[in-house]
Amino acid sequence: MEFIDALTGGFSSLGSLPIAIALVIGAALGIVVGVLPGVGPGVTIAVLLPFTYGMAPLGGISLLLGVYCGAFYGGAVTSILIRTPGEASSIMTMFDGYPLARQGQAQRALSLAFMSAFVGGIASALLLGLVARPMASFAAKFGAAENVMAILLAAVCVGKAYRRQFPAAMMMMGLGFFLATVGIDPNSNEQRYTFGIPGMLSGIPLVPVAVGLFGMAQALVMVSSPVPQFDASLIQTAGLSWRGFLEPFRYPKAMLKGLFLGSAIGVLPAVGAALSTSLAYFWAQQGAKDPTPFGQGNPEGIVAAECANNSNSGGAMITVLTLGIPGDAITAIIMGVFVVHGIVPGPSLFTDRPEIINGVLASLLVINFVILGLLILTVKPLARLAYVNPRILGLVILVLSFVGSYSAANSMYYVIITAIFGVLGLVCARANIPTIPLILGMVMGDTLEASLRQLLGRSDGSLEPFITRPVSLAMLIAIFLILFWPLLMALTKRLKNPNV
Amino acid sequence: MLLLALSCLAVCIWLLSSQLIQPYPHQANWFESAALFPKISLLIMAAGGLFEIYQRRHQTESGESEELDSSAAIIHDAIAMLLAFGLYMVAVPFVGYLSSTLVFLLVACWLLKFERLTSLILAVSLSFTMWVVFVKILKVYFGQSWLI
Repeated sequence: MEFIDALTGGFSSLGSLPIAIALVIGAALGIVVGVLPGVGPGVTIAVLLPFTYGMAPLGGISLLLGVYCGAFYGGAVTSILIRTPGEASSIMTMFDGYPLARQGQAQRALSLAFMSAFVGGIASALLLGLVARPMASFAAKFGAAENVMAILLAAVCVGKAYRRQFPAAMMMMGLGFFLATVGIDPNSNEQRYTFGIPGMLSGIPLVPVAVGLFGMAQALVMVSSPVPQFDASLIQTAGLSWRGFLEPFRYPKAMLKGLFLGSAIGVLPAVGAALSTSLAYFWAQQGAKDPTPFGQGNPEGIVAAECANNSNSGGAMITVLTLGIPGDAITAIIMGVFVVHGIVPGPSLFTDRPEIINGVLASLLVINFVILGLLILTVKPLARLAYVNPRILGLVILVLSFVGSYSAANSMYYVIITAIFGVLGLVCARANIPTIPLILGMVMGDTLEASLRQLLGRSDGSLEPFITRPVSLAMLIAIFLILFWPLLMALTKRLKNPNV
Repeated sequence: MLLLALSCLAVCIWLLSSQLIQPYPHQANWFESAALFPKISLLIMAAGGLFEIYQRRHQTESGESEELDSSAAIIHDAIAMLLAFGLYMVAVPFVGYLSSTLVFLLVACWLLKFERLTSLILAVSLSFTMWVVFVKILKVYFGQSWLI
């Protein structure tokens, strides 16, 4: 009942014309950037973030959520028609989508992908509505010790998601934490690492950092890379078929596998859609109903991958709304909209600003319908966007990065920060160093420091509360297990077989 | 090289913290100090960087980041574009947004070896659109300048 009330409240929040327009524009932009070569939702959301300053919070969030979800759908178009996945999470769709298109069934493949993504999106929005409130009630009992441990657990999960680059990811996370401390310390009014620069007194703002790392760095790569060549013969065959739209429902097992993995993995910080789609794809191979081999146009491969891909969005928003911990760079930037408007994401949001929570839930539901509608109307011309020269797009992003970061505060200081982090992003990409942990560190740094100082202040510097509070202790054990699991396994192996 | 530079930077800032935090809380308890959290962050940064360097030296294959792929990028082109962008940043407050954007786009198109007609159409249409949207409609103020 509470869920229905929340949903009704959310729909009424979306009734405002500016919010509805923002939602539709976001959805349309998302689809377009999903199709455009080289432009992902991260770049677009980073570049759009400054423009959400003047909007109502829910309008800004709806705009960015539209881009986030729309790109998942759009990515399938290029995966299926030109064998070029726009996003890592669309690779699995390509494995069976492209062979189907080569067999003259492009319309079937696109319809399968869109309807599966639609089911994934709707299911994940409903999951968000059902799970977020109880989870927030649980998180409301968190004290400073639990907050510190939850953020550290998220940080370790992020680092581990980079597997062999774990130390590099932790380095960037440390840099993000450090950057969050620059400026006047709110507790003692001391100036920290400002180098006497007046602009730095208020800290290093998130917006130009995000625009630089994701917008400008990507633009520089796009303008300096050769134009990719692809077989465009299938672009003319783009279209949809009603039979294809209904087909995913013939494979409920593949759908459920995708939904389960997408939602579950979406909740985990930094693991993201790419892992969930590949796991769902391989899981769907077991006990598949359709006899076509996987990789040669099996529809169940597309259904599982697309369901998993789009069901990530709701899962990723759960941790943002309930704990104030973003799961990836995109949700970190979306969290930036909350921060810009002085809204603190976390359990208190459910009592302080329920209209935002309900609005996000309703937005996620409506966005999926809007996207599906837009795709039905525009899929043919949309596919032609794949022809656009990525170098031209790079130039557009560069110019938008400039004006976007400048307009956030009408200040060249923001543009300088954008340029510095744009260069850092490019250099990091060359050196194979991840940059997403930096943004996550910046977003979580303030809360981590505040909670840590609060806890240490109360306990006179004792670390005991971390182990005397059960939830904190459980998270501490989880951190140790995540960090030392490989070592423990190796030790156990050696104990069992000393000759190894 | 970048890893080493970032690690060294973290260590240097850590060591210079007493000068970079003003006024430095010498009398405060360690757990109440404004320097505690930044120092922990810098320690994580330095340790992470050094571990990564060690790992890369002792590993036959390095971990591939799934983030921005710049393997095909021609670094000279990127540097040229960066320089052009730097000049653009400097020019906007003096020359004006429309004129600077137009010149920047023309130079960028020339650097990217676009055809003349394409360059002209792209530069004129994009700079004019941006000017109308941001300066005229959204009222973004770029300061007093010689031209528009």
